[in-house]
Order: sequence, then structure tokens, then C-alpha cells
Amino acid sequence: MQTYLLHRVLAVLPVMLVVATVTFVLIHLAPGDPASIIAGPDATPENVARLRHQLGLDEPLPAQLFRWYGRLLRGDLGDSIFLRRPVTEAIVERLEPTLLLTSWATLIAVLIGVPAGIVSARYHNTAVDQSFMGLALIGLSIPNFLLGLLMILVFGVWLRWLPVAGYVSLDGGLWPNARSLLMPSVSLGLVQSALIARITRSSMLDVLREQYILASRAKGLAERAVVYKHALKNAIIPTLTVIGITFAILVGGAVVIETVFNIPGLGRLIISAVLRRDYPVIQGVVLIIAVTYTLINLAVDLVYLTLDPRIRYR
Amino acid sequence: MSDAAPRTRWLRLLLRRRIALLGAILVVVDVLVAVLAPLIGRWEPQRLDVQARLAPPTAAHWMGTDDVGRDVWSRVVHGTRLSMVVGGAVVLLSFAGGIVCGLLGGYYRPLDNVLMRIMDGFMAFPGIILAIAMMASLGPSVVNVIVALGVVYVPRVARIVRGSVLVIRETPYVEAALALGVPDLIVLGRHVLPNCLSPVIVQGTFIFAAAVLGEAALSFLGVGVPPQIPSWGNVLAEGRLYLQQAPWLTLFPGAAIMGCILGLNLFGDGLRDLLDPKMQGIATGVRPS
Repeated sequence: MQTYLLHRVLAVLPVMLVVATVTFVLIHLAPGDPASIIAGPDATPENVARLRHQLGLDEPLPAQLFRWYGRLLRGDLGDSIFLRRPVTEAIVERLEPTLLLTSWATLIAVLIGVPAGIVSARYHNTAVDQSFMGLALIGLSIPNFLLGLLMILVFGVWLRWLPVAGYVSLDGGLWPNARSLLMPSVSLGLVQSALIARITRSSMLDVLREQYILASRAKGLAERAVVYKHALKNAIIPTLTVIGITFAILVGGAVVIETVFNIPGLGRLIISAVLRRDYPVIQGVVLIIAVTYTLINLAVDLVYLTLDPRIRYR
Repeated sequence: MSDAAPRTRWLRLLLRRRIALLGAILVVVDVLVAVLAPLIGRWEPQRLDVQARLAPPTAAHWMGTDDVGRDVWSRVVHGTRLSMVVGGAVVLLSFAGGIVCGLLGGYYRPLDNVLMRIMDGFMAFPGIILAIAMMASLGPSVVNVIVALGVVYVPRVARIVRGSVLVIRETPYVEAALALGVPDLIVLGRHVLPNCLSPVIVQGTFIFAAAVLGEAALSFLGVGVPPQIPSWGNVLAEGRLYLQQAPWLTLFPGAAIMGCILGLNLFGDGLRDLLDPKMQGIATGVRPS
């Protein structure tokens, strides 16, 4: 158990190394000279040379790579070319909307997905099950940004129930904030809920076939107690893993959803950085997201371990 | 539990297959539209007609026109063509990279650790984020979208192939081939590869769907294919700006995307039942032994 823990925690290190290297290489993929692209077509050769030196692009690649590692270890992501301030600052500033959006979306996904999965499993192969699974499949086939656009059309433009776009920060009050995030979170969370419903259903079906379920039925427990008390406890574990794994889909989706609803989060930050070729910002955001994803999956694995004592790793 | 009587089981299989058939039909329709795009497009997708800008659907413009008067039907039809090309190319690219990495990793133990750590590293990036970052340095173009999305799905294919290779290399027929002195390369190509293909092919339909979605998302964000090229994502990006005046700019390409992805998902599920009985066990809740 201890060795597994250590193993699992240490396994994060090579992943982080690859993540750091990939984010570095990504920017150096650019055909041509990033400095002249950043400086723009009107820049003088001297300006380009100065920028190149400023960005450390005149050094040999390995030297640049090690300088990048060194800076990362100190928590320094460099300065934004366009915003003219540290990338970490820009990221922290944009964190609130993205964090709130992904949290709400996860909550919605769990609140819809888990009950739908349980009910589908309990009424396996009935019309209820089939319609839920049919809905889940349709849910998986709608891109979240399309769902967002359709929701704006229906609830914002036609019914005028909700603001079509924009973001009210937490400082503007809890309710206006939640209201501005309602449609974005639903469009992000619904797709997720389809995945969660599918996994919950199939793990629930697995558990319902176990001996101890047969035993609890045999001793005359009410079906409700069997399903919700005995089966659910074990069936919920794979669902937890899925929530961890699908964090990637969620954050990726948030980037797109933020554009749909004009929310000034990390997604808007990276997209505007791409359009302005602000490479340090792109690098920083991509790195932060990948590191967060890795850590979340580590956390999920560890929680998994404590939740299911049957799991004994070598 | 034998509560699933043979009759309902049989019914379910038939139902599944019929749903898979529906998926296949949707996919075939998309492929046909893609092939016939110049014939059925009716208008040039780039043709401007500022007089008729943001016109609602009419007999002349079946899906209306966009903000510079381009025919939406034609742009959606040519967008289908782009989506099919991108989907197919991304599948080929990720298969090529993933199969090579997976075979090497699964077969040569020392390489395995290094290769798989690299794959883990790549999988630590949400796909769309990695693609966005690559597009940032590659610049907007159809080929670059294909490259970026292809790279995203290499690790997924590699992992599946590696998993199968680990099992297959222990089988008697591989052992026999090696004992007979067959070179590694031929063992890999003729004996190992064909036997690990079916889960990869199933995955291929899902990668195709993800690539179509990925291209639409990238283009929607303005970092995919250049805006003048007809693509579902590009039409939706314009549609977002005119949601109030011209909802047809959103509804029609949206329906096209949904139909395509739904078709691929249904088809993929059916294919999985057919090719990969182990996965079917998981899907229907039977414990794989």
C-alpha cells in the first residue's frame, strides 16, 4: 500500500517533465522566427534582434530548454508580450470565472448524471432505461458550444429569461454571478452528465450482479435499500474516476464555452493570446491546465484507494 | 442473473444493430454529401452577394445567407466535405503514429517505459488545449488542423495497441514464429499487428467524431481553418455574431454537426459490439472474466 502510494506520487514527476518539455517545444514548432512574428511586419531588424535577445531566443535550444525548466521550478512563467506583465498575474486574474464555471458544470453533471445512471440501472432494459440512454447518446453528440449557442437562442433571444452573454464577477453579488454562469454551466455540464450517467449505469449493473446483493435481497431487504444503500456505495467509485478523467474534457470545453458566452476566463485569455501570438501566455495557460489535470487525477486515484479497501496494489 | 430471457436479449441485439445501421446511414449520407458537394452545393461557397446578406431561407437559398451574402447551404455542404477530409486524415495520422509507438512499446520492453511516459505526458493536456497551442505556432490552415488533431490522438491509439500487443506477444503462435526464426519485423507486421486491429478500428470511429468536433471547435474559436474556407465551425462562428437576426446561421450547421457525430457514435457503438466482444461485456454490464 505504502509502496503503491509512493509509486503513484512519483509517477507524476516524469509526466510533469514531459509536460514542461512539450509546452516548450510547442512554441519552437513555429516555422520562422517567433521574434519577427511577435515584432510584426513593420519592425526594424534591430528591434527584432533586441526582442530575440530579450526572449532568450538567440541562445542554443538546449540552453533555452534548461532555462525554461529553471524558471518553472521558481514558479516564473515569464512576461506576457502583449499585456506587458507577468503571465502568472494574468492567469490568477482570469482564474475566478473558469473555476466557477467548471465547478458549477461538474455539480450539474453529477446531479443529473448520477441519478439518471442509477435509475437506468435499477430499471434495466425498460423504456425508462432506454430513453435515458438514448438521451445520453444524443447528449454526447451535441458539441457543448453548439448547445451554448442554442441555449442563448432559446433562453436569451426568444424567451429573454437570461442574459445572452457576459459575466458578472463574484464581487457583483452571488446571485448575479450565478445567473450569468447558469447557461454556460448547463451547456458544459449536460454533455458531461451523459458520460457520468453511462458509467454510473454500467458500474451499478455490475454491482447489482454481486453475491452480496443477492444476499441482501434474499434476507428480504426492500429493493430501495438494496439499490441505494448497498449497491450505490460501491458503484459510485468508477463514477468518481470518470469525474477526474473528464476534467480534461471539461476544461477544454470551458475554453470554448467562454468564447460563446464572452466570459473573461482562462479560455478567453489563451484564445486572445493565440490571435496576438503572445507565446508566453499560451505556454503558461497550457502548462497550468496540464499540471492541474495531472494533480486532479492523482488526487482521484488516492481517494479511490481510501474509498475501496478491496483495491490492493502491489 | 438470467432475468434477461433469450427473447429480450435477442430483441436487444436486433435493436442495437438497427440503431447501428441508422448510424451507418447517417455516416454514408455525410460521405455522399462530401463527395457530391460541388454538384449539390448549387452555389459557389465563396460567392458573395452583399445585396442578399443575412437573407432567411428561401427557394433560392435553402438555408439562407450569411453576413456577406454567401449561400449557407453551399457552405454547409462544402463544410461536410472539409469535416470528412479532416476526420479521415486525422484518423490515418493518429493510426500511423499510434500503431508504430504502440507496437514498439508493447514489443520492446526497454522502449516501453520511455514511450509510455511520453504518451502520458501528452495525455496530460486536454485535447483541444493541445491543439490550440499547436495551432498557435503552426498558423491557421487545413493541413495544420489535421496535424494538430492527429498528434492529439496518437497517444490514445498507442495505448490501445500497446495493451493488445502485451497480450499477443505471449501467445503460442508468436512464440512459435519466433522459435522458427522469423525476424521481429515480420512477426510484428504479420502476426501481432492484425490481431490488435479490431479495438483500434472501433476507436477510429470515435477519433473520427472527435476530429470533426475538434475542427469545428477550433474554427469556431478562430484558430482553425482560415475564415473564408467553408467549415461548420466557421459558419457557427459567424452565426454567433448574428444569433438574433439570423438564427439559420447557427441552426443548420448545428444540425449537420449533430447528425454527423450522432451517426459516428451510433456506428461506433455497433462496431464495438461486433468487433470487440470484451467491450460489449462492459457496455451491457456483464463482467468480463
